[in-house]
Amino acid sequence: MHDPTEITTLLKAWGSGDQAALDRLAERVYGELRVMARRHMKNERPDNTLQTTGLVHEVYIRLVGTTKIEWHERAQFFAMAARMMRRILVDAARARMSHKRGGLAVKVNLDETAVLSPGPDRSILALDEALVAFSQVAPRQARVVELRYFGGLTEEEIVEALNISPRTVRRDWDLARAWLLRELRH
Amino acid sequence: MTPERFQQIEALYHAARSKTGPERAALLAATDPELRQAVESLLEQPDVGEFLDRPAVENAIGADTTVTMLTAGTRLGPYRIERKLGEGGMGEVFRAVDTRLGRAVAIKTAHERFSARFEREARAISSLNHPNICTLYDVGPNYLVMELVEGETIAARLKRGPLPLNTALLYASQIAAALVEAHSKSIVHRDLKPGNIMIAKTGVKVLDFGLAKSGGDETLTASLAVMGTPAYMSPEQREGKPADARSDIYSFGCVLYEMVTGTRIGAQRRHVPSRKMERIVNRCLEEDPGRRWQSAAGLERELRSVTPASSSWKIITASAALLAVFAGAYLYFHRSAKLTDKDTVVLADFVNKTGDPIFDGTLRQGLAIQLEQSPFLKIMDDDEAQRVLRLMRLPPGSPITNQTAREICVREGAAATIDGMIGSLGKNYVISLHAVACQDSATIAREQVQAGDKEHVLNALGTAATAMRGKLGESHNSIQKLNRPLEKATTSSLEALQYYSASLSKLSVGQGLAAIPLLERATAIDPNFADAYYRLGAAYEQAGDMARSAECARRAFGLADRVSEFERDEVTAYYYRATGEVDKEVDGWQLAVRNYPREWGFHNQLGLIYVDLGRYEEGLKEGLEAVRLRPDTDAPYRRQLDAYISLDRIPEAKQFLGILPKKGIDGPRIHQRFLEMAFVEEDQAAIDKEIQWFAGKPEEYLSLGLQAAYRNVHGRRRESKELYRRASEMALRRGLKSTASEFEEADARADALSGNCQTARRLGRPPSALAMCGDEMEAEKLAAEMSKLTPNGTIWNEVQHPAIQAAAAMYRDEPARSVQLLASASAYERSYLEPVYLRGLAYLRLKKGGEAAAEFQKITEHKGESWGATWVHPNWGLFYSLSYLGRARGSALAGDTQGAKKAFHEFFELWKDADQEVPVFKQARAEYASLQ
Repeated sequence: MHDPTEITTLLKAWGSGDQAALDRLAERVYGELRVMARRHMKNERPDNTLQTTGLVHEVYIRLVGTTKIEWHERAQFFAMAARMMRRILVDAARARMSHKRGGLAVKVNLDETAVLSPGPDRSILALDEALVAFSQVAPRQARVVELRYFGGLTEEEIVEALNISPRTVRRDWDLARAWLLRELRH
Repeated sequence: MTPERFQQIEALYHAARSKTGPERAALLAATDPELRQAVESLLEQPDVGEFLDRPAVENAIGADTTVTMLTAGTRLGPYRIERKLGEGGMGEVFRAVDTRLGRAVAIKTAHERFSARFEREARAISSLNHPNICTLYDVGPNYLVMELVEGETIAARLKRGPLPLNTALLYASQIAAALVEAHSKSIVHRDLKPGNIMIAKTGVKVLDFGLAKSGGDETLTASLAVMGTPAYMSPEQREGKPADARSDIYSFGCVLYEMVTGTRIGAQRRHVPSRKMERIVNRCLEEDPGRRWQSAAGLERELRSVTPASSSWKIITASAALLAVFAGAYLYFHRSAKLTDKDTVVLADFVNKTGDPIFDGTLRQGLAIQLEQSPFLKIMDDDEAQRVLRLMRLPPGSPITNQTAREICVREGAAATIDGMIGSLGKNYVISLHAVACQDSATIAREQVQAGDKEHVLNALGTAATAMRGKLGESHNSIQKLNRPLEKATTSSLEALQYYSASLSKLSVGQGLAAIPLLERATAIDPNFADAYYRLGAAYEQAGDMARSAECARRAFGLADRVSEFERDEVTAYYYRATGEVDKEVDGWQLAVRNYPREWGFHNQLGLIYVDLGRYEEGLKEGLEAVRLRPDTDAPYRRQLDAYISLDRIPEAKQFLGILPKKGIDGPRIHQRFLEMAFVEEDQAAIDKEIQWFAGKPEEYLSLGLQAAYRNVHGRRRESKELYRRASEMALRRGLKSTASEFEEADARADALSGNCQTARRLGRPPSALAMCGDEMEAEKLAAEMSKLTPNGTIWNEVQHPAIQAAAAMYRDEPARSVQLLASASAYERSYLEPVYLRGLAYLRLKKGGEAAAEFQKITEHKGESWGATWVHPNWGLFYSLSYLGRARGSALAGDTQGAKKAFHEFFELWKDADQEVPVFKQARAEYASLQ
């Protein structure tokens, strides 16, 4: 069983600058999330997936439950969980790659007359790489992507976690999205 | 990149995003090329449908389970994969079998799930049914199921050199025909090229309609990420502007050029072997879309005028014919999309070789019900078939033999006939269906099924009919969505079905009364026979027995999950019509229209309720569509006439005066509208003419009622009263009790409005007049009865009942309460004028002259509305003229003496021959005098 008070204590300690508390917290969250994400990914029918914002919120319920914590602490929790989610998915993708001998299959284009815009490389690995590069020039915008795409956070939750206005969240997402799609197409 | 550079890009990106078109272009043009290029490349990214819009974890699932792992034998929904045919930009292509129909199909897979929007658009594309278009049968979460076309692409063929001119011409006209069809449904190909056109045995087939991504906009499948092919792209597409029909015409020009020259179009043009063809190519390739053909139809006509070099043309057509003969067996199973959704089918009577009379009539009816569910097939209505029989000088109710069906089919320009046969084979029954093209008597499809015993005959027939729908070219999606087993859709009892089909032949010749006992029998045999209740309800409605009609509507609705989709849509909407829940009724007909856009009756019903609710513009649209689908029947013209009159568009309504009688559409309900138009225009000659038309006819009560309303407009209450009396008597003689009492009530209400309460008190009705006269108790008692009858009736609850209560409140001198009560009626006030009029009176009492005048003006400014549906509310004439008086009073209160005088003059002009003793008239004259 989880002890919600343990988690809330860690959250509070982290809030007051205790880095060790963050590590312990991250460990717990990572463990929980990974179990859930695996179960989730094994599910072969995409129709049966949880609601889009499911996992991070589910972990929160499992670890913190109904214990009352500060709204801001909750947002921090989500932000951290989103980062963990990113790590889990990237790790899983790496593992998959090593299973497939030769990596991605080369696509044969039967219709020579067609000019195929290659289409974005949809692999999580490619996105992760692009996001790392993007965060060098636009750290805040990259965070918005992490929270929304990997964490499944809502706009309000992102507002709270990054302490920026809803309009900025929307504009950042808009730009980051176009930027990443363009990078992935190259 | 430096953070400063990023900030520049970010700022310009957001600035450009907030602008469109030329403004955006101007903004970008003003910046340095490098920055501009960086921002443009961002703006080009699609807005929707990209994988980033779904949480990462979902894409991770997709990565593990995409259909790239599909191999022979795997199942994908109902499809069994056979082998891979190839790979393309979007994903892979497989040959598969639809296990439900045993039909071979092609499946194109995508690397990721489609967006909801793409699925919607793909569904629109799947409505394309044309012999030269590869049909899209089905859309899965990340795959498309298409007609399997075997052959080679034009691109592959052109590798061996140019096509002979005549072949090129033949292919070109088929491609043009495909474009005409798609463009008529607003579907643009966007990526027409030799690699997308297959040369199949039955002609060319254009693939991948509408599936290409368009330049800068997000119109389609961002997820497919296949751009058009630059060499064949129109200049506007290359510039990233949205593609339209003319863009396809440009691409068509490229294809045509390449077919005849064997080389792709480039800066160096080659000689085109025919001058006419060259002109066609040149016009297609105009840079400016405005200078190309504006529609594929124009292009198609032009192609037809190119005469092929005669000798070789003959060889081509001859060999095509020969091919058709040889390919007969192949076509038999493989030529799908034989019919298009513009075609009508005529059903012949079943040939009954069993000797058992139970199958006479029933099987044809069963087949009709089963096929009617298809939005793709249009089964010729029985009454239409009867009309043709008359033209063929055959007695009504004559059997429709195969030969007769074919003749009807040819006369009416229908596409095909379906005939059926039932025979016995030992204990078994064999049912066969046979679809034949009318033009050349060629077999389109054949279907045979067996039933183990009599009880399973209907079941087997349903199966055969469903299979037939597929063979005739309907897409799977559509069959799956709208298909209910026959024994559920109707009845499992052949005997009940027999009575039912006999009743339909009575109904189709207008003998509603004769149909009633037959339908009563059918429902007695099978108490769950929903459709029989529905028809019975309609028959009772025709006979004027509304209580029984409503009861039947309720029974039918209670069984609605047992009827076919088609009937369910109808039964549901009809039920809400009976309960008066107008929003649900509107929803019901809208759904019916969406499911069966070719059914004129649904458009007509939707138009009717729209007009009733004062949504005249929408009613007009439905009326126009219904006429387009069924130009030879009068109901949809009535929708148009009502809408035009209510919208004060009398000149357009008057066009029908000449047109309709010539079409043989000339009944009393049409002349009722003509008379209303004459009254609106106060055109005495026309009024006399229409009154004359009605003289001595059984429907003369219609004309009398309207004349009474017209007298009201002019304050001639005495004459009006006499006309209402005659109208009521005449309606009663015809057995129309409720109509008769409506006339009586109209008279009583008119008196109450003019300040005379005796009539309403003597009659004890209607509640609105009693309320106006202060008999609130009595009015509420009647209203309570009404509330019991239609507890959920929208118009009753939101308009009529509040109006009664508002009139009572006014009498109690609580006008503010009246205004409050009338608020709910606002949504319907274009067609229900009583609440508007009462609100005006209430404002007068509240000494709000301006507001009062504004209310009355709503009525005086829309004269047509006072007539356009007069029949439902036969007292509107009076609201119209009294509203001038109301305006005069409102203006006087507001201190606008000039405006008041003007309105008084208009009122007195209308009432120049009015009865002097009418109380409201006396009062008006006194008020006018004090104004002087």
